[in-house]
Amino acid sequence: MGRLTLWSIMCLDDPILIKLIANELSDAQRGDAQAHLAACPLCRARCDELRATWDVLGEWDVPEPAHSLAPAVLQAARGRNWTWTPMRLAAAIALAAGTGALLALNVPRQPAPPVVSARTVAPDQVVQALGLDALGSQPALGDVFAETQEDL
Amino acid sequence: MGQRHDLSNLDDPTLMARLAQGDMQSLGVLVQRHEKRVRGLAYRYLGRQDQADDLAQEAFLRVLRSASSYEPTAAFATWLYRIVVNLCLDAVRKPRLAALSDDDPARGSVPPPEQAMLDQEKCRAVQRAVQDLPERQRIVVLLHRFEGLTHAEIAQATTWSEAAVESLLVRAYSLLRQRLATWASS
Repeated sequence: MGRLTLWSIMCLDDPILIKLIANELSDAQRGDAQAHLAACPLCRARCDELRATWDVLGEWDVPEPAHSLAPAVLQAARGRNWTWTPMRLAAAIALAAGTGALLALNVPRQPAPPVVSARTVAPDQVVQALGLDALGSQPALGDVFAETQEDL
Repeated sequence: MGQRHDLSNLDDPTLMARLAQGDMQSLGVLVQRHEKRVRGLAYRYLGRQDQADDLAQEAFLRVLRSASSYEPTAAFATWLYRIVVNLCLDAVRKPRLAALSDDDPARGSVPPPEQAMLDQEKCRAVQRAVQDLPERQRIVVLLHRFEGLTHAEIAQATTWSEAAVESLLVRAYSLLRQRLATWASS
């Protein structure tokens, strides 16, 4: 916006008066406006009314808060953090891996095979269990097999 | 990352860059640096301190959420004002008359001197007059008169054109002049 070159002919409009009171005009523009106001009682009256409104608005004080919002903001931010950094991503992967491992450890185990003692089983039962009877011969199990126990 | 450094000398874009990397201490500094203006704008717009604080907190959480995409093409404060303005315009309006009495600091205390009572009444009148403005006029007046933003800065904070901002300010100040004429002349 350039100089207010028409100030000597036309009155100042409201936007100019608002900017004048809010100190938004350049030095040159302010000089032009003030020169006009000095010569124009109508604009001077409008400006005075606007300035009085401006001043009374300034008397509206906001109560000073008793505490900073920083702790509450940071606490809330920890609850919903969207930023992923390499460190956080690695931590998330580690957490997922740990969770997977924990789930694996908690999978119900297969029932342990019963403890088998050769002494309690007849040789022909062992042959049948091992499928050796299909071979057509029956080795001397009592000599071949020692007592076995499977402890799992 | 666990060590605390003095970040108070860093400018806002630098703090935002650190925040984008996950430095929450930077967020704390930004809050302490800007909470007064955010809470002030929110309080004057909503009229209740508790609602204003909730809004302010949400504004800073949005700062955090947007940290990775933030680009310092405009002043950080202007960008922050845009967040606050959007939250204000989205806020559900609560009864303001009740809010005025709830926030009355003199309620329940010893009656203050006559001048102080007049000052309080004037303050209430101003608050009422501003909060009776249509929402867009209220926003631009708050940004212009109380936050000290220029027309151009208000246009940036609101994404409205400068011509629209100018028109809203003219109408707002005209209404305020009428409603506060008694107080302005006293």
